[in-house]
Amino acid sequence: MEEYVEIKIPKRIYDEIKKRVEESNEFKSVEEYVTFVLEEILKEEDEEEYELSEEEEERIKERLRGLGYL
Amino acid sequence: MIIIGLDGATWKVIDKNLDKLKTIKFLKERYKWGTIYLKYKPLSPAIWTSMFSGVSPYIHNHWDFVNGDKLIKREDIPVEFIWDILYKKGYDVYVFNLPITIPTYNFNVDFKPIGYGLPITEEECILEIKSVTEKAMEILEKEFDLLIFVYTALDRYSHLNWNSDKLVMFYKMIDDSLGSIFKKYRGDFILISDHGFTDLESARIRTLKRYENIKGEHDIDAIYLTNLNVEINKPEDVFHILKEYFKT
Repeated sequence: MEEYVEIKIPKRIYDEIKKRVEESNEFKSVEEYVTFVLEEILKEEDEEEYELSEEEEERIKERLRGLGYL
Repeated sequence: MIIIGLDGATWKVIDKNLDKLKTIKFLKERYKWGTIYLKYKPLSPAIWTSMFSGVSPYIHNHWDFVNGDKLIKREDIPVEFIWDILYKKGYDVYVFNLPITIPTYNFNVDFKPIGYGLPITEEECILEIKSVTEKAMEILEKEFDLLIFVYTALDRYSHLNWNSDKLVMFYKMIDDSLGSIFKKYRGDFILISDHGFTDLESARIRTLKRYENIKGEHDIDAIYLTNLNVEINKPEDVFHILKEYFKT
């Protein structure tokens, strides 16, 4: 299972998140909210790395055609 | 827990050559194994998606790598995979070279698939087996809860060289790789294929659009082999087995 660490964030951000958490039913705590947001950002960054160029897409389609998939 | 996918592997080839495939022979003599007879068209993207989402292809409707002329991406597949669920709960989950999309899909792993996950030539197929094994060995060094990866080379090679000694050589290469993996890893595992294979003439279905130089075609006989006390009757069972295993 995952280990946890403590990090510091400005109190004004904490207070703003706390307000949002209290107003919404989606998150149980500030920690859960912050973890969710950071995971989403990291996921987006990972996906960006794999964005294909038009040339690469064409090369893939060529392979798919070669194998009879397309 | 590790799940090792062998795209297109069938007992038809394994059993005839079991004495050459020492690792699979060893595992088969000790653990539970069986055949999964597919009830739907044996298409890799559909089956791997069902296996790890628990959703039937008739519901997720992701059958192909392309829609018209457009490559399908992960976000086009309307399911939550087991790794999405486990990762959110804090488990260390790694997935790579999974043929639900082309390029093959990775989650939490930096892996460059050979030929975008469609190795065609003999050299590319050999390179895929080597690079998938190397990446798996690298992840086995870490602490992890679930590792999933797939060798796609058998599917390609079975289409092009069904019923050849060369195909047996590729099974042997993968068997040797499994030998290295199981020398290092002694935990729970499922070894599984998405569909089987047969010769083109007797195949009941057609999965390709063109058939120049094609000798083998998909069949409904997928395989599994596991040290868990479970039965796998359909690909979706794997998702439920993993949910139960991780108590989620």
